[in-house]
Amino acid sequence: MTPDFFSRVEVGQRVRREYHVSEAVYRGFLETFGDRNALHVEEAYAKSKGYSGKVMHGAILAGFISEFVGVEFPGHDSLLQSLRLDFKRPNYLGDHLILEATVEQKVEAVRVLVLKIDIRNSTQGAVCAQARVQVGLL
Amino acid sequence: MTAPATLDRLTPIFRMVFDDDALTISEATTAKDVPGWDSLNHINLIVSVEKDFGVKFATKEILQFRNVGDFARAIEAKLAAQNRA
Repeated sequence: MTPDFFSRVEVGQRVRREYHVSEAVYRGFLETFGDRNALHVEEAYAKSKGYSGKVMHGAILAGFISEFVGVEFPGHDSLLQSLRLDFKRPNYLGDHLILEATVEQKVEAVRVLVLKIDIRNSTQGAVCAQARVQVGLL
Repeated sequence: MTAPATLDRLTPIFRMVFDDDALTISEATTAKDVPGWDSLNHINLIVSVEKDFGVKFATKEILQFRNVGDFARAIEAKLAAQNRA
């Protein structure tokens, strides 16, 4: 990131990145945080409740957002200050996601960007989550 | 002197940022008077005020605010300038 990165960001600017809810992501989350709720680990149980399969942990999306903010946009020299995440539809193992962030507010006095984020599940063809994040630039 | 309407409009923003539904502010209020007014909440306050009032501050400007009165007068000056434009 160049020193004048913040000055070049514009309200309305959009940035996209693709993510994959892979076996490694699912297993990594499961082993790290231990949320073994039946909906997340028992295929038959999840189907008996009307889902297509094991429901992926919604908080996996928070991990993708963290990666997006910390590595992709703004990336280096950024600090996630707040995250609001609303889930719309479940994601399943193997699904592909497209995260699109729109710069909603740019606050030059305190070097902050507010991003509106839509996460679309391209495997299922629907928006699965929406988020709003506040990011500080160091 | 700050217009009461400005403080009235600032009050719910302060209450949201500092998560205190009973918080009251006056022109004399400073960061020391409000529990939780740390550097991150200071940022949150500026972000919320810019959005709610539709104004923009400069870094130097916010460093010169001594109290809520200075903050409110700066907001009023910006709104007046917008109305003249």
